[in-house]
Amino acid sequence: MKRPRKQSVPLDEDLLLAIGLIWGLVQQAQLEPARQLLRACLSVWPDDEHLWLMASLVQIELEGELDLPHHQFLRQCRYQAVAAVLLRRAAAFHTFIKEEHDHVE
Amino acid sequence: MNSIALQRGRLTPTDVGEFGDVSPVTPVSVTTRQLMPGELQASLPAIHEQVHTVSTCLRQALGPYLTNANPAWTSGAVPRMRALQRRLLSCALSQPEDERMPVLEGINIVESAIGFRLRLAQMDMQVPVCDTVDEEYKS
Repeated sequence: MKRPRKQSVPLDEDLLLAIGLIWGLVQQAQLEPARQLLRACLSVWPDDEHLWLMASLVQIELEGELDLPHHQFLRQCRYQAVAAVLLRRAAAFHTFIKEEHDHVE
Repeated sequence: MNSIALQRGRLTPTDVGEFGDVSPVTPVSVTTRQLMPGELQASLPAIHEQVHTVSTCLRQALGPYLTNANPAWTSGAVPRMRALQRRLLSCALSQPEDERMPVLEGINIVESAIGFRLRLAQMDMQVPVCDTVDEEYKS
């Protein structure tokens, strides 16, 4: 089994648990609870990259688009593999919505 | 080392039109390295290579300790979750009153996660609650 990724600064116990819990919710597609818990945790740990990453994912899935801070975060975060997938997904949503909008007009 | 397929599939000229030897073969676990090139080609990809969705990407990026192997999914998670709730609550109390609502909703989410775990622990104990109730009714 792969060893856990070495953290430069060991994560806070509560934060570690929160990330695991939110991941589970995301994994089970319980996105609304995930968003609520993310919002709460981000008010305690506003700069945590893991939380930001999952918040970006949830925002794309629930709203179909990314706001500017999350977009910028995905551009420069250290999880470029996931970020690329998420950005592509956001772009796809965007085109889809735009096409639908054009179709209505 | 011969694989199961080779052991079972060996045919002699007298076997034509007949089933081969179908005596039960005990399954042998074989690692990828032990497979021959043809077998390797015919094998299904490993599970982690099969689906490459957003969720698998996320799991790989965060690593096992933040995902499947996280303390949130182990048996002693409830006290840790209470600690998380206390942390969130103290944060909520430090904020102005009209901004507390999102944090309180977050505490509720943790609460429901605790509820699931307590229910699971209750089911694990396997106390025959219904039986005792029935007996009480009978007497």
